This record gives sequence, structure tokens and C-alpha cells, in this order.
Amino acid sequence: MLLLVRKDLLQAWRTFRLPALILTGVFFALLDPLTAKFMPQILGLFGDELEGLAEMIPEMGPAEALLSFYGDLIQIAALVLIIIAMGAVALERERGIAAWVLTRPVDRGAYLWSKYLALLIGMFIAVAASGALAIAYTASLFGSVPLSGALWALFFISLFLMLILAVTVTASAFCRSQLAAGGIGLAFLLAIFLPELLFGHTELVRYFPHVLSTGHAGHLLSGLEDWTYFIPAAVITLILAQLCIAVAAHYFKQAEL
Amino acid sequence: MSVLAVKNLTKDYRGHRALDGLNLEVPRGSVFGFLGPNGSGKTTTIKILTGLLQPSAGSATILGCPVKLNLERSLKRRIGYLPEEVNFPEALTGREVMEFVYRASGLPAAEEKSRIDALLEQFDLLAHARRRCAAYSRGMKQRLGLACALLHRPELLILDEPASALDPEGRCEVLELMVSSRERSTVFFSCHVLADVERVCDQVAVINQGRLVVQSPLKELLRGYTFPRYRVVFRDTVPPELVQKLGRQPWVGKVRLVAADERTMLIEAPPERLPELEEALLPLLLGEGQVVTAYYREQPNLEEIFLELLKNHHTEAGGANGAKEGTADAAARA
Repeated sequence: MLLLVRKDLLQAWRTFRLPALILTGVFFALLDPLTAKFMPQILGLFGDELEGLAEMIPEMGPAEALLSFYGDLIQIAALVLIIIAMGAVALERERGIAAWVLTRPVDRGAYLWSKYLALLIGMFIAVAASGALAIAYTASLFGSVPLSGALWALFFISLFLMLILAVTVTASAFCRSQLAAGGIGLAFLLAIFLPELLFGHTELVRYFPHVLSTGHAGHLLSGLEDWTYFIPAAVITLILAQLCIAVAAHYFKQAEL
Repeated sequence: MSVLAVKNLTKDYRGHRALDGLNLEVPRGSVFGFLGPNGSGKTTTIKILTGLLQPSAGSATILGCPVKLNLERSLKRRIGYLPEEVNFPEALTGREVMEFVYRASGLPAAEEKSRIDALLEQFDLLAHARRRCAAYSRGMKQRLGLACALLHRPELLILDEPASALDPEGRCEVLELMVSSRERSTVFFSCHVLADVERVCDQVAVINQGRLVVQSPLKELLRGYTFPRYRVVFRDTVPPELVQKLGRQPWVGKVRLVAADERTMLIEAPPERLPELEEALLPLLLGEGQVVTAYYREQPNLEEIFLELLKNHHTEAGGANGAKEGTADAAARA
């Protein structure tokens, strides 16, 4: 398994998939705190036309700056993650690489888990690196940050992204086309917020993975919620993600290549 | 004892029967040529044998282990496989690909570098070992694929068109390698170049439309298909009257001049009248005042036998289909 993970990480690095994910995170880690800090001045550059609007936008603090960064992680980084993960298995199947690898003394289950783990490691590196940069940069611009809330929010967002990744890799194992796998990943990213519409006003919402994303993570930054509030969703997300890959591995063991 | 045995192997793809009750026995230590026209089911058979496809019916064993979808790792360690189209993880270098295969095979770390270097050198890839596979030509990929297949010294080598992308020199090397591997490994390979098969194989099987046409030791096959045919080379152009005269002889079945060379003639006798032809042909030619520079009984090559086998198989299959249709028609009429 370690051999396969190492190979997949090396491939992800050399094919620029891993750097692309890290760079996306770093880009927003630098952009969002800066935008939050200088938004009034930026709007002021447009002159009288946006004068009213500038007054309407409340002054942003470090929590809002980080929240904006987390929002981009959820939206843009998740999209990049889907694009990277959609071909993980489907593209290798299409090109015959999977058939070559799997006729070596390699277990099919290990092959699939390694694809997921390599992407997961890459995702954690990207989130950790860009998150650390965003927190440090926000602290340097605003003077302080709600560190504990920021770190917990970052952790929960990583779990949320892990589920998106697991679903996309699973789709990639089931589908022969990487575009279909990407479509499923994207559809899931949109559908995952549906429980907010259905159960948003009830206690039940705590059990759905989407609470780990920005809307609720904002409460961690503002101190409105404690990290313990997110434990049910975190546990369910973890279980769902591993379950997805286990199902995909089971299917893949019996798939014709 | 057979290293590879296939019994009534059948594979259906969306209503199309790619393999139709195929039977094979590959003896240990042989170089086994697996022949057939395009679409005859060679690659499907190989994919089933390597655990990439599930047969619809029938069974197969490799080295005494049953073949199933997704082979056991322990069995994979005993097989070296080269697919028809070799595709490696393209971001890896040639050396990294070999390191991956070496480590996945669980071979001793102490010998890793020397073994990989030796094979890279043998396949003329040492200078390109640090280049990514994406930059390799098709021939280089095929050589790297062969090196990977041999890396763990397998008991059985399954090679799907192993020399299809190689230049003549590379092809010769691969053929020699297959012969030299015989002491350690049984070689099962599919090939389109019948001259190559004739050169290295001791056993052959011909399949057509997913069915076995023949399996035989090569020597027996060549012996069994000896044509009663003589090739005569004349010093001068052969006059048409001589061709007509020969055609009228009772011991001549067929006479033809070889295309683009009107000095070479092929004379075929009905099998039972060959002794008569051998007695009378040369005196007749000399009596006609012809100068004969060469005269010999011709042996058919594997390609001719292959084409003959396929022709017979098509005829039989056509007859069988006709009989089936006839039965169906009769049943419909009844």
C-alpha cells in the first residue's frame, strides 16, 4: 500500500495536480485577508458611483477575512479537488495503466485505497499549508485572529473536503469516463447542502456533513458555537467517506478491466 | 505437465461471442505460439488468463492455480505479463517503473539496483532510464514492458504481441530472449508475424472465431502439412506451351508460374500421384530442351499452413452454420 501511495503522490506532484491544489489554496490565503482588510479602500477607488455601497458593507475583521478564505476553500478548492480526483481511476482504466499496474503483484483494493489516500494527503497538505498561511497573514494584517476557532474550522473543512474527494474517487472507480465521475462529484457538492433547506432550523442539522462547511464554521470563528457542536457531523462524514471507498474497493475487485 | 490449461473457455460481450469453448494445454518449458487472425479472441484469452476479464463459461488454470477475475498476488508473482499496448504511469521514469515492479514483487532489496540495471542494459534502456515514460517511443515502451515482465524471473511469461512495435534488430533480440528464457520460464505468446513463430516456437495453437483450430508441436504441424509440390527454376523464360503441356499430364494437379518471375514454376501433384511426378517431371522438362538450374520439393511455411487451416476452418464453420440453418429451416417448416 505504501509503495502505491508513494507512486501516486509522485505522479500527482509531477503532473502538477498536487501543486495546482496547493497553489489554489495559497492564492486565496493571500487574496482573501488582503481583500477583507482593504475592501473600503478598494471600493473607494471606484469614486462616487460606489460610495453608497461602501457605506453599506460593514467593516471586516479577522474572522470575516478567514471566513472568506474558508468559503473559497469550500467552493474553488473543492472544484479543483473534483477535477483532480475524477480521473484517478477512470483515466487510468481508459488508458490501460490500471490494467498494467493490476497485473503486477498488486491488490486491487490497495490500488483503490492508495488513489484515495494519496489525494487525501495532497488535500491535507494543501489545506494545512494554505490555512496556516491565511491565519498568519490575517494576523499580520489585523493584529490578531481567533486562533482556536480558526484551526477547528480548518479541520472541519478538511473533513468536508475529504467527503467530496471520497465521493469523486468512488465515482471514478464506478464510471468508465472521468467526465461522468467529475459530474457526480459536482452534483454531490451541490446536493450536500440540501439538508440545510430541509433541516436548517432543527437540531437534526448537526448530523449532516454540510455543517462542517463555511456557514456553520463561521460560528466557530465568531465564538457562537463550540467545536463539540460539530462532532456528530464530523463522525458521520468520516464514516461516510471511508464507506464510499470501501464500497468502491469492493466493486473494483470484481470489475473487468 | 501443463503450465497453463484452458477448458471450454467462453466469453460473451454484449451478444457477441469472443471465445467459444476454447481448449488449450501449454506444456512446461515450451515456447508456445498463440496464433489467430485479428479479432479471433487472442487478446480476450490473455486478458482472462491475467485476471482482467471474467469468462462467461469454462475454466483455466495457471501453474496449477485456478484463474479468476483479479488473480491472487502469489500467482501474479509467478507470471510475467506484457500487454499488447503497454501503458505505464507516464509521470514515472523508466527506472522508477522498474523499481515499482521490483518492490511490488517482494524481491530482495539488496539486489534491486543490480537486477534493474542489468535488465535496462539488456533492453538498451539504461541511457533513457531517467526519462519519463511519457517521452518513450512505442518500441521503448515495449522493451520496458518486457524488462518489467522478466524482472522477477517468472515461471510463466504471457506476452501479447511482444515484438509488434520493435524494429528488426529489436525483434531478433526479443525472439532470442524468448528462446533463452525457456530453461527458466514457459513462454506463451501471441504473434502476427508467423516467421517469428516458426523461428522460436516448439508448440503452436491456432484459433479462429474464438475456437481452437489446431494445437500441435510445430514440427508435427509442419510435417503434417507437407505439400506434394516441386519448385523448378529455369535458366530462361518458360514458354507457355510447356505450362500447357505440363497441365495435361495426369500426375500434375496444378502448375503455375511464380508472379514477376517467369523462370520459376510451381508444380503440384495429387498426393497419391507424387511418385509418378517425381519419376516423370525432370525427364519431361529436359526432353523439352529446357535448362533447369534448380529443382526441389518445397516445404510449406507456417504462413501457408496457417492460411490453409483458416480456409478449412471457415469452410467447416460455414458448413456447420449451413447445417444449423438447414435444421432451423426444417424445424420452422415442420
